[in-house]
Amino acid sequence: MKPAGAPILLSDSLTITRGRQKRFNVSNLRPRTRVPFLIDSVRIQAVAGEGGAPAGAGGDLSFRGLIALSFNLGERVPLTNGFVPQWLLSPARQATVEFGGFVHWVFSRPLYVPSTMPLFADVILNANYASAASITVNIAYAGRILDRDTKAPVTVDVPFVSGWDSTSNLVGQQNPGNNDLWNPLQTPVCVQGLVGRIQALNGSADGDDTTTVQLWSPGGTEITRGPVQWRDAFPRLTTMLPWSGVLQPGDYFQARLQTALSAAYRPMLSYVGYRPVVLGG
Amino acid sequence: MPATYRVGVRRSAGSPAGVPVSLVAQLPLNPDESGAMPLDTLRNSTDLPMEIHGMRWTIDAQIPEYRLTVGETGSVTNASLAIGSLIEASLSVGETQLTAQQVPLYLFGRSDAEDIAQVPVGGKVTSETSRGSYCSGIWRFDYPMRLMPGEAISAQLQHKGLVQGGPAVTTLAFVGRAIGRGSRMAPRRFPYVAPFAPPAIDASTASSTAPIIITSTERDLVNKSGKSIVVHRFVGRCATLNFPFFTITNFPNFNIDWVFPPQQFQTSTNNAFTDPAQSLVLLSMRSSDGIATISNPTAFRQVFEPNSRSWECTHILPPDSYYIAQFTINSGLTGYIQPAMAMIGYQGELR
Repeated sequence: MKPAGAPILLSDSLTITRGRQKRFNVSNLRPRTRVPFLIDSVRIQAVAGEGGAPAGAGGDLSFRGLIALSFNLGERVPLTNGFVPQWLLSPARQATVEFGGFVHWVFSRPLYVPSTMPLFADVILNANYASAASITVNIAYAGRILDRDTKAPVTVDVPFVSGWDSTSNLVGQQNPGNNDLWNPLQTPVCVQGLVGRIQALNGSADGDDTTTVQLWSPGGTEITRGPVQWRDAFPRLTTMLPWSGVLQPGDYFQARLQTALSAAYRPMLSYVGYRPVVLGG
Repeated sequence: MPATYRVGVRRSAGSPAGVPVSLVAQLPLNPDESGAMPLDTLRNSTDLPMEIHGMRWTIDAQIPEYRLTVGETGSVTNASLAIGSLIEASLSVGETQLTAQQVPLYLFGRSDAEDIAQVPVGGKVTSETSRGSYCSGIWRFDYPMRLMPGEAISAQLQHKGLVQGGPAVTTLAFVGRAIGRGSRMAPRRFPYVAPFAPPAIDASTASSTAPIIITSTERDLVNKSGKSIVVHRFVGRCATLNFPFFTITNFPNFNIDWVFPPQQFQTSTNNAFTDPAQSLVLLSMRSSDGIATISNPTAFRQVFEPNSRSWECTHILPPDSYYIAQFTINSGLTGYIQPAMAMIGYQGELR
């Protein structure tokens, strides 16, 4: 079979301060000629300061889950359930010290983007970020450009991520609500797994993985038999618990987290998957 | 008729049986010297075809291990260490060129999620450290390359002089299996690599008003095979040479090419975990048929995913087609940097 299209990488960057929300310039995130294209992956990199490189001084400047993004195809086909912390978008090796985090959301199936429907990307920097100074967030879509007369597919597999951010220091027991790890769509979502991350409240360090977690699939079936150590469920190499199944509209995953009363960390969970969408004319 | 495409690559099936084989050759080269690997050591001397699955390379710059203790006085000389761009290679099988020109060894293939082309720091930082002179990598072919009885892989190497002193010994090992008699032969395909690897540049003079711009030519990232090829990926490396890893007195500088640090430190004297060149070197690219492949200058590490150093983008490249890549540096970086990239794919039957 003939490989599709010539490679293309579209990028944009913006500066943002804590508590603010901004949208990337969609003109930079679509081909200059109005043709359909495929997106294989989204790359997100945030650095302190404006337009600079990660600082070389000692210290950890990764933003972890303090940066959250929302993606919408043509403003009517969401790829995320609202804003999802960047590091929940995709399983990834848990890095050590990072100067300016890098997130690589690889789509399990290339996303077909029609010429008439750009992929909008919005970003929020959490108010808990320690500094009032601005940061720079860079985004890039890597994919392939298609011929103008490429026949559009009837259905498109659109990635979907729904995330839960505990938003506060976890002390004792905490549970995501029924509207956190749920399917808000009108169509079922094919789930590929759950991603789990823990950070300090202001993102200045990784969280303590002595936290225990208990997970249930829709319908109440146990995913973990009782509470398990966080790293047993979400190992550092992948940060992902594979789970294959279908999440019907309105269904949700349940979780219960428990940590020592002296600990104060901010856990986050998401499920990643995709669903077929009829884009229409 | 509108074109329709499917995404994916179909791999050829082959006989499940086969004796593992390894064709190994070694060559010492002095700085700036060129030479050829012994041809007979990379020859299929059997009467069975071989399937070569990949190439493994090592460079040993043979710098004696040096132990430095904190508080030790005196300067450290010959601080440079081996790195994958120390040696460049041109490869061919008979009249089929596997490389468009000389390729730095660490541009052959994806990285394996770790920094395999730099020397890890050993020992304890607070008390002593040692440094070596060895680096290695693996190039896994997307399709096995068939080597018929009597055929040989020709490898021409050049030492680029990044490390001075004694000879650097390069070892190449082509590994695979011998195919049994009567096995069904898959279509014959050869890997293809075309690089853009400019010399190291002094990046410390770059500024936003006077950026350093390096542009490739039509002879770099080009399909010279005479037929259409399939390009599977672009691989990118951005090495910083003689980088002051620590500001501790008498600590040696390093040649580094890493995006994520291999170890976790939090000392105030540490001034480099992520190589800043990966973010400050920008890349833009266009194809010979006018497509703006990367229209906005984009940070190196955003183009080449950090763990694998690659941008996976399978596509067909017609004969004599090429990409023009441009590296731009707007801000001052410490010392010399060496950005480079290559396109990697295969030639032969494309189906």
